[in-house]
Amino acid sequence: MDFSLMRWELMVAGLALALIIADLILPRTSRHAVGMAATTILGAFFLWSLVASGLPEGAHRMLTAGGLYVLDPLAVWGKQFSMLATVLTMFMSLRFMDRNEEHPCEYLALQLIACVGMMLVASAADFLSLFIALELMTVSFYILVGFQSRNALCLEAGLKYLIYGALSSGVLLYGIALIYASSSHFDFAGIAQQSWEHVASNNNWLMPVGLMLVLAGLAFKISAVPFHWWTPDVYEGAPTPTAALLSIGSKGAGFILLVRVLFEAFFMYSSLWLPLLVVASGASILFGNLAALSQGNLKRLMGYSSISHSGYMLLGVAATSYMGLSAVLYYLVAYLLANALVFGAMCETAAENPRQDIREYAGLGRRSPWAAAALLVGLLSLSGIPPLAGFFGKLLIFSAAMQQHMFWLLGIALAGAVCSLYYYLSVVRTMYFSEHTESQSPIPVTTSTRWVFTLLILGVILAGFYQSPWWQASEAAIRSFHR
Amino acid sequence: MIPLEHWIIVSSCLFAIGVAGVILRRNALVVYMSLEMILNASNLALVAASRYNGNLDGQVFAFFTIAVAAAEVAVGLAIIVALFRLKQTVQVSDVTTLKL
Repeated sequence: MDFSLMRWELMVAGLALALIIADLILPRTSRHAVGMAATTILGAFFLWSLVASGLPEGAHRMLTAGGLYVLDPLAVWGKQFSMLATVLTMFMSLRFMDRNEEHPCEYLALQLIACVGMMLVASAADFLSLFIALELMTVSFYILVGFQSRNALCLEAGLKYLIYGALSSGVLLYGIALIYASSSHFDFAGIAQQSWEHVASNNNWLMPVGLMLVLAGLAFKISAVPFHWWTPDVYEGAPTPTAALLSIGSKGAGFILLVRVLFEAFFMYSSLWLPLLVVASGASILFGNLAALSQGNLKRLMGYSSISHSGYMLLGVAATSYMGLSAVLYYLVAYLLANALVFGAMCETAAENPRQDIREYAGLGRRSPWAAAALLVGLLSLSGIPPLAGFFGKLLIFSAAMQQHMFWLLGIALAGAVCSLYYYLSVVRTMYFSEHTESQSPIPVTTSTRWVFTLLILGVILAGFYQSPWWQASEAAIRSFHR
Repeated sequence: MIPLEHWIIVSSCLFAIGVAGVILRRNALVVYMSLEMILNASNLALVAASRYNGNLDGQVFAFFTIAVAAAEVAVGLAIIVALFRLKQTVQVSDVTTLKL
């Protein structure tokens, strides 16, 4: 077994353990410094992984651990994505937990463990490693969602996520069992071979049923309609950094997994899963955008917005082309940057506005120009206003769909995008133009937060104006994966 | 030997009972038992399929499932206990503050 291929997972897991031990040994007063150090180290890991991906020179697919673990450019991309997402949410937690947390370092360590789960998910080449990695991620999320055990809303969100998450894992597992019963394989390559024979002889119904159950389980993780009910409730109740990690990391891991399962193992069944993806995509876009229209709570609104963005990304997957899949990866990066800005701004205002009521955002433009600017750029990018990253994400996905002549779905997606303008911009209007406000006191933003906001805003603008490096990275990941 | 279809039918019955329990029951602990039933339905199918496919992968998978289920129960019961301490109830219908 080649441990050097798993170096990023091992390093992040080591960091999580070191953080827990440091929390036990060091005095209470140094907790914030320890958390800051762990965040910085993970940031260094992320930058290091950009320079040295861990994939040997010239190799494009390395298998290890008896075929359970694969390292290819898509897996490397997924690991970088998870690390970046976790660095950002850990940074938010540092601000958030100053005020709210009793066990700050445990909260950070659990995020690191969830990050290990997401990184392993990106490397799954077998249903066994897929299931264990997904559970590592999900079980950490159960704790992260219900972390504030004195807060009734938080615990309620925890219970809901626990029941829905465990149900989805159970459905996924039963699907895996049926697939195994019909193909006697857990590895994606073996299943692909068997499914070719099954489709040729056309005599097996267990495999399609198993595939449907696996897809249902994955749809829970990416919160696509009809498995989306948990999303708004859990986002609203969960601590804000958890909601951020759930919306970025869990969705990213879910989409990488979806791409792997559908294109590596079940490509022969595309006539079966393609219509399902198309319906789920259209329904998610419609439902997410329409339900978000009437929301008065920003976290809940982000929950519905997350459902609609899943719909756009599913549209890219349903295009079943290099272009569509690369567009999904590009879209995920744009989504990461924009969501990190929005949730980061929410963490800044959490002390004044713990429930994240949108009316409380009135006058934020004057009270805290930095948080307001972050929220503005994030929301504009999510709604797809031209020069920003979100616009090009949507453009790429729509043109991929156009190439496949999916005009109906394209119409729905465009209508949804127009609809989304309304609710994103109404938050912006409240923030800058609404006069009604009880408190006028300024909300301070620390220097480090200003730096992070500046970098993220620059990232959103750069990814919009100067797309080619980001696009090439996504395309390289997809091309070598599906060689 | 009992054919594989019979095992699949029994396990799918267990699976259906589990899903029905999750949807219909109102007590968080009973819901949690139903979730365990779903995992065990999968274990039964995995082990039976392993026997009929002639390789041990399914049985190995079943061990991993048991371990994962134990981790899930540990976390899940902790959340339910914390909820009981706060609200003195484990009825799912009593924790519905978050809704549309």
